[in-house]
Amino acid sequence: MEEGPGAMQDPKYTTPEQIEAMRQAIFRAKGRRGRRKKERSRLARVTGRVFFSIVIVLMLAALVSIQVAKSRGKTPDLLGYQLYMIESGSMEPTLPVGAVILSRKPKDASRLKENEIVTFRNESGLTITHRIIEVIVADDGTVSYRTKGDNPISSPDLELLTPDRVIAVLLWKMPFT
Amino acid sequence: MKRTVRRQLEPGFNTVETVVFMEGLSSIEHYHTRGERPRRVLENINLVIKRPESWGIYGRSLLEIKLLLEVMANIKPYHAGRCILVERGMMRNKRVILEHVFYICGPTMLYDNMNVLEFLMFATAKRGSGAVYRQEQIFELLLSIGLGPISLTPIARLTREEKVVVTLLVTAYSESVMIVFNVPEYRFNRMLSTAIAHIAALIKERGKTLIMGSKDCRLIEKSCSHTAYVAEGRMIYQGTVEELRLTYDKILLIIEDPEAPQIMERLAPRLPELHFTLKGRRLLISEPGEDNTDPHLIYENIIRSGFAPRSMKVNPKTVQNAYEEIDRQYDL
Repeated sequence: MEEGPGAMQDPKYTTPEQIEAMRQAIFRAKGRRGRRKKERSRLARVTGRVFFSIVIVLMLAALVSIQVAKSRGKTPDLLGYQLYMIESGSMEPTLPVGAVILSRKPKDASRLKENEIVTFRNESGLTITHRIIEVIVADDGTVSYRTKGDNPISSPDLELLTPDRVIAVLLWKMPFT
Repeated sequence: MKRTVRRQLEPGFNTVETVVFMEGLSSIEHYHTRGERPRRVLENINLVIKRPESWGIYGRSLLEIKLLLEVMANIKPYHAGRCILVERGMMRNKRVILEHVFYICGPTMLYDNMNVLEFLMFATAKRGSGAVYRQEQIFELLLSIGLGPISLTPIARLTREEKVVVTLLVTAYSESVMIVFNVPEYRFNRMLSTAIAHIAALIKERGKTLIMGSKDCRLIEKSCSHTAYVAEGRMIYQGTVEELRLTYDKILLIIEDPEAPQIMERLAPRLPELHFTLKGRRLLISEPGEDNTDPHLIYENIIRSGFAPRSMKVNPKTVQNAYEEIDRQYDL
């Protein structure tokens, strides 16, 4: 192989000028990248603060709402949404004991449909979650519902459910509960 | 240049200490000489290489060096003995380069349509750190190890020696624990051998082991912590470079003068315990025993003999001299 000072004069070799130019190019790219990174980090900081504030406000609202509902003997409710925990096996296997469900207050309790799962108060004042198996419309136009638990051993509820006792309609069952 | 060193080994290999373990290994290949019994190219090789070390496998025969490194890389099967790589073991007839071995045997591992910096960026893309910072780090590394003159040169224009050195640099960024650099037939100029020495240090820093075959004693001295000497199919030396130099390089003084033969004639009877060798205008004075003669005593004798040599220096103990001494001892 060629060696010595002459070897580096071969045009294939990178010259000190090319090396310096590359260093400058990297320096400039670092500067651009640094500025972009700064802008991005500022944006991320502002977005993060807004998001954090919203979460805090929502948590405070939930806390206040729960406390108010508790003090009035009502079910805690946030923007019409309620959380319930299933305490009996009447709705198994759809809703096992311990399942947590998210329900929402219906806009018009007289327009519920068959197969919807509703949370209601029975005539004894207990809160129950069962499925509507039949919508009954009387001659005078009043609506009532026949309800039943999904458990095969359950039989249809004896008393018909009237719209005024409907509390909420099931939206979503929390997974793994 | 500030370099961030990160250990990049595969998780399973962090605890590995022995990278190569060869015991009684013999090759399948034979030398056939008319009138003589065939002799195995490698016979009864015992070698232990640990991590992180850099080894220079030296030898007089390119075939023996290359074959030994091929067996180490699991490319060639062997006849007898044991060879365990990275404490994982290997099957005797499986000619596959294992995942944890990075094997370099030629210049064809690079893409000709890129320049050196571009290729290194391509090869290290998996590291994922910011491209601009990585580019700066690699470029500055190229400059600091003396590869600035080829840093932006298209790979198609590089010599085969330059290409393998670039490939060797890639290995420092790889996840391989064991790097086999099997190009003993190549001759590296000063720029490249300096770069190899830097890369070998980087490879060691990252906890990997470099094993290179070479017939260049200077390269081994510059780049390797350990060395092994294969001659006539046998391993006749293995150990650290330091130990080799101190044990086998017996030369005390090197005198350069046009009257070197006359100096030798005068000194030989005065210092019978020393050995004198004439190499052109150079007189090598060595000490066969373990007496540790003071070089100052030799100098005084030269002056008393009426000579004033042009140049006289204490031998810095080199790998080349040490291997020459081994050649003499083994009559090679």
